[in-house]
Amino acid sequence: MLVQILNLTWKELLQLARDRFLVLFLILAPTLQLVLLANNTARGIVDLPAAVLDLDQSALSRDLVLALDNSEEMQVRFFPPDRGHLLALLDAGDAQVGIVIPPGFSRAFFAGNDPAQIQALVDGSNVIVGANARQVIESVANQLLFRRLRHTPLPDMGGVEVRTSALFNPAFDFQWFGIPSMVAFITYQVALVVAATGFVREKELGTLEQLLITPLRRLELIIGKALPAILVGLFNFLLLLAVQRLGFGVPLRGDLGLLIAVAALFVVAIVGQGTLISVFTQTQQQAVLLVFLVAILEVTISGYLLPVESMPLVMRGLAQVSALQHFMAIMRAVALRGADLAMIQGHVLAIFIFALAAGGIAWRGFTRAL
Amino acid sequence: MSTLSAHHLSRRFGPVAAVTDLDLTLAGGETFGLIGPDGAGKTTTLRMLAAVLRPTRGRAEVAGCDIVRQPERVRRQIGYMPQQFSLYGDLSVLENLQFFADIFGVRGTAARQRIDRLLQFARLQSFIHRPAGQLSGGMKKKLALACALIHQPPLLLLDEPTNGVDPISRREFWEILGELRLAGVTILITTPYMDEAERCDRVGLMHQGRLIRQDAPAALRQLAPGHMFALYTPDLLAAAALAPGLPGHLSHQIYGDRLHLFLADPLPPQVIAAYFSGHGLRLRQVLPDTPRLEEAFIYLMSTPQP
Repeated sequence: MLVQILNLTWKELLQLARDRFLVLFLILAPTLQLVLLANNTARGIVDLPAAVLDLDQSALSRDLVLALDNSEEMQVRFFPPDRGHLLALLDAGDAQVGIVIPPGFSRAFFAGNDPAQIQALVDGSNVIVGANARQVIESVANQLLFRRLRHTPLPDMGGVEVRTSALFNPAFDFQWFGIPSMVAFITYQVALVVAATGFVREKELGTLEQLLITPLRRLELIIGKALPAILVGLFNFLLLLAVQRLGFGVPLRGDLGLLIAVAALFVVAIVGQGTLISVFTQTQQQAVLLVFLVAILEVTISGYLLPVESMPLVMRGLAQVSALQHFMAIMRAVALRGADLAMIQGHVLAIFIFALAAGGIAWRGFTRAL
Repeated sequence: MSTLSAHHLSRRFGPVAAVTDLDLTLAGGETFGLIGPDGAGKTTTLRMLAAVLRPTRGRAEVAGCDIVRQPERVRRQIGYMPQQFSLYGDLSVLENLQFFADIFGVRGTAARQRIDRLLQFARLQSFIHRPAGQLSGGMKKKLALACALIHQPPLLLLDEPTNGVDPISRREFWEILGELRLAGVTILITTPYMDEAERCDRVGLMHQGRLIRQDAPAALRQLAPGHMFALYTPDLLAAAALAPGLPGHLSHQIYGDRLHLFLADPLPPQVIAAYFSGHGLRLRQVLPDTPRLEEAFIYLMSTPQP
């Protein structure tokens, strides 16, 4: 039994090693992907090009422009002479934010009856940029005006200041959240695609027929095909984990052994899912397209883009059966919060059930198809 | 004891009856050729006998093992060569052989010796490191045969092994099969080539899922009714148009550079020549001929079977 499985696994690895491009793809690409994605998403929004039309030309309005330019998120690059030029800059995409300070802004502010107004024109075609720009302008303007108020004879109103203390991630570093999630996703992606193309490739080449007439048992065949995908997935995970810890300095507060063990279970579950795809498709093309479809859905419900708690009910339900969602949660919990097995057992159990279900259906499909 | 026996072996794919009530018995050392048009059920029959496909009805035993109840034991007894090339194109000739040796539990020195012998046998010694995908069509077939022989099976199932292979490789392939026959291996082969069917001990004709006739090639040839004549003329079409006018005409067929005539009575060739010349046909020669398997099969397929 074991010998037969290893025979098949050896053949698979031999074939894998023969394909130089694939080897490179499986080792280099995931690391590269992680490094590029992490560096790109870590900075958030910075240096948005802004255009300011200051029709007030007061000391206060000039201070406001300076404060905006000093903010990390924004850079005032243009001072158009009139509204038409401002709109042209926005149309052309040279500026992503336009700010109009109306005449009488300063006067209105110090008169104190109605709130002084400024107009912000943001590019609504990119909602993320738009929403961020609005927030930045609001906060910069408020801070400035707050400071100014203290120097006026009006009574000091105090206001409310929120002081956030980020537990587990004191610097509130986006990378600490993003990288463990990405490591989980890239591992997922590699294991899934390798497993999904496994059987269907032999089907396409006609070699499955040849394997079926050998004394290999069905179980040996399915495990022998799954094992290389599991090895590749786990290898990738370890590689990426090292990059996460050593390259990006994301702490690993929990137990390394526990994390690796859970990762192995996760990879088994995903290889089960991939094998399922492989058993029910007829060509590698079909399999890869299906992988894309599934992967996009999985990322959406994984909690990486949107917390699971904020999803509509249906998506929340789907997220519960997503092994990726559970593993991402485990990655963050073990790495950042130092969680032990007891704290993540719900997630582990979910992945275990997923692995059983995917493997079981794949097995059934495989034996019935013959 | 027979090497292979099938009784009422049948397989349906949904509404399609691919094979119906196939009865077949192969004696040890026999070479049996299964022929018939595309879709006749030849491949389905072979796949059932290889225990890759379950029959919907009937049973079969291969070397004493039931194909449904003991599929793994059946597979150790047979070497099966599927119709399409199904080895690993990215592995070398040697690696392919090594893999199948491993899977069939042939190990160590025995494996090395056997691989050496098979390479020699298949005339592939000088290509052992070439990826199988880069071999020529004929070499691929020989490698597939070598892989099917790695565990020294007493029964070989070959599905159109020479299809799409050049004539020289085809002859070489049959030389190899000849050596296997001498060694006592039982062979069940499907082929679209009549000349290959002639080389078999017995031939079975499959038509619409049924094995309609099985016998020695010489006996099958006699099944074509009437007497056959070969007519050589430069005006084949004109000759074909005139043929039905002959007394006792059964059928005719243009065959390359001649016209094959089937007549109910053994007319003297001069009489036939006189008939065509009388209608102004330029004749070169009329000769009595013996029908070949092809004529026998065309006749059998066009006649409704009981």
